[in-house]
Amino acid sequence: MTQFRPSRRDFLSASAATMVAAGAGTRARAAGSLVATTYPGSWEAAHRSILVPAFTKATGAGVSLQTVQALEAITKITASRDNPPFDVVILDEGPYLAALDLDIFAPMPPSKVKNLAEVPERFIDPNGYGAFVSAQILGIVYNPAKIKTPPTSWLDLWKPEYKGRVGITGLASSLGTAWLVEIAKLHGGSEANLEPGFEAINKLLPNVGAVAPNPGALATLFQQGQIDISFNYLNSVLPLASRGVDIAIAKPDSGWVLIRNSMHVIKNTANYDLACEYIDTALSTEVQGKMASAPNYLASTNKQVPFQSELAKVAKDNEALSHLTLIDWKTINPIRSALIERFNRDVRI
Amino acid sequence: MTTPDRAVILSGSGRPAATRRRPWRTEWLVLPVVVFFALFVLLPIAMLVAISLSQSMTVHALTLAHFVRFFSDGLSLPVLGRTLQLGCETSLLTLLLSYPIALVFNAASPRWQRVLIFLIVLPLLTSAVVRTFAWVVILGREGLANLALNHLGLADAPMRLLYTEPALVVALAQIELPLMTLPIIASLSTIDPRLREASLALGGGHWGTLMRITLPLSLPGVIAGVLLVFASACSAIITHSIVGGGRLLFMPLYIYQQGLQAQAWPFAAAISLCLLVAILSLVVLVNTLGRYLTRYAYA
Repeated sequence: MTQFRPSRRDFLSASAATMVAAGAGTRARAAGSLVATTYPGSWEAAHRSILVPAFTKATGAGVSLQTVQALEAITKITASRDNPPFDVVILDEGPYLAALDLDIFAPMPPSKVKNLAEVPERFIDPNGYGAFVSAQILGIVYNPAKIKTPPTSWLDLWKPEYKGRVGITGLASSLGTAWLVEIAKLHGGSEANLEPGFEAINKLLPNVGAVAPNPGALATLFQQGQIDISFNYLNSVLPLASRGVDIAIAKPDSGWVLIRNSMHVIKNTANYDLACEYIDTALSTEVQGKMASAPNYLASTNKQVPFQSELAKVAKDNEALSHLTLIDWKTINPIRSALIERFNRDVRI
Repeated sequence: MTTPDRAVILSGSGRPAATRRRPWRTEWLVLPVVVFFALFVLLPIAMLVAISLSQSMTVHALTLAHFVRFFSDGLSLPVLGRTLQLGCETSLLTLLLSYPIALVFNAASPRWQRVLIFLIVLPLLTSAVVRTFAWVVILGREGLANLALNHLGLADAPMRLLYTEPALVVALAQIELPLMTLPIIASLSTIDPRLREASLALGGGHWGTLMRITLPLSLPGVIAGVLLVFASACSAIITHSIVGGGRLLFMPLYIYQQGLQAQAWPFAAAISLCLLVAILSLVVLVNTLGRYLTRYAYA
């Protein structure tokens, strides 16, 4: 919700949303400070309380954190390449790979980011444009107060007893797209053949109680009692559970799904060295250890950080983590806007 | 032709000659607005037109394909239609709610007017996000409305209120209420109270006076309010997404989705222009109709 910044009455800016993107690049910024993106929710909280203070302590520079979803961050950068609105961005695998063709990233040599040495090979970007700082773990989310037997399969969402109790979100997010891929696979499809997934979603519609406009809103629907079963990331669910919300996450029998999150330095940034140091700090054992503990549970990609408590239930270490189901984003990316369009037609009324 | 004469009459002073001697002074004052308007309204719209006509962000060939897609894809036109319908329904409901408030305000003593104006403006002082979230608390499955229905025995199972179009119209009407009430109050306060008294004294009756004297004379305020509410209800992206949910798709979210998420800038620009033209046409239509009705009322 935080990304809907245009004022309500500002009719022109709302009707010309692309102009908002164009204007973003002209934002003035203070010297010796970095502009970095983060995701809304637990990411922002963790970055603000852990990563930013550690970075400021190490370098003396300040950080202006902006909550921007991956696809939107890329759009805003391409709108203003010469004077990019951000120095560092956080992205999901899919949008990152799609953006490789756009030539918006600055190379990031290991000499600039010493902590890359602590990251196992499967979490290092083979293109040399960034580093995977975490990975989100996708599972079945349910309300343990209403659903006594934990669900075991994605197909449980189709059970007739959950009529009007299921929550989903659209395909502009990695969350919704990865889930669609898993559903398609369960019905004989794949990344290249998502038709079975769409057919299954159409059959799910009588059960759907709410379609969240974005992944952040999907988790809060449990808080409002609007839905009882859905899908989401471990790191979105556990912070809510620790605050007393009736919400829990279960492993689907088809396996946890992993969506890797990467940080990148943007080409033409005026703060190249600071930006590299920011990513270096994000990979440090200290920051990764704090991000991975309660209440955020953002999985670590640093070998030195042991997997504890809730994360240990998913994988014993980050080597095991890296072997969870990965989605083939290279196949998805070319058809991404067609998927968004198809979801508009099938689900939105 | 009539406007300057009327201005002179309304100003009631004997100094029209003085202003006529150096007219450039006042005209220059308009310049900053004109420059601002050209830079921040006309230029962006021109850019929007240019983008909407290009093949893609990399191929700059001229094409009408994006407009063809808008009118033929079977999704965009219904979304536009539903957005305009939402604007009309919200305007109507807001008008029905605002007019009585404005009448009460007009009849109140100055002391009560101060209290009322505070209450009317109060919603404008809180953020749209907060006002919208209040509706989530009221309309949710375990919200106040469902609790009340349940306790009164009117519903066994929670009713689905949130994420429906009627709920969205009600929420928007409450949120936009001041935009309608304030112009109507302004308009009502300019009506000479003697007209109403005369009508009552001549046996017009309360209802007849309202319908034949007060309402027609307050039309300029009503039209201004309707236009304000209509335009802002059509573009209230925060309320659309929070109260409407992800399943109801209206133009602002559609533009946002195509522009920022699907990265289809030319198509997003084309949709934006179609919405702009549609709203402008409706505004012109209502304005013309209003002017015609007002002239009729004053005749």
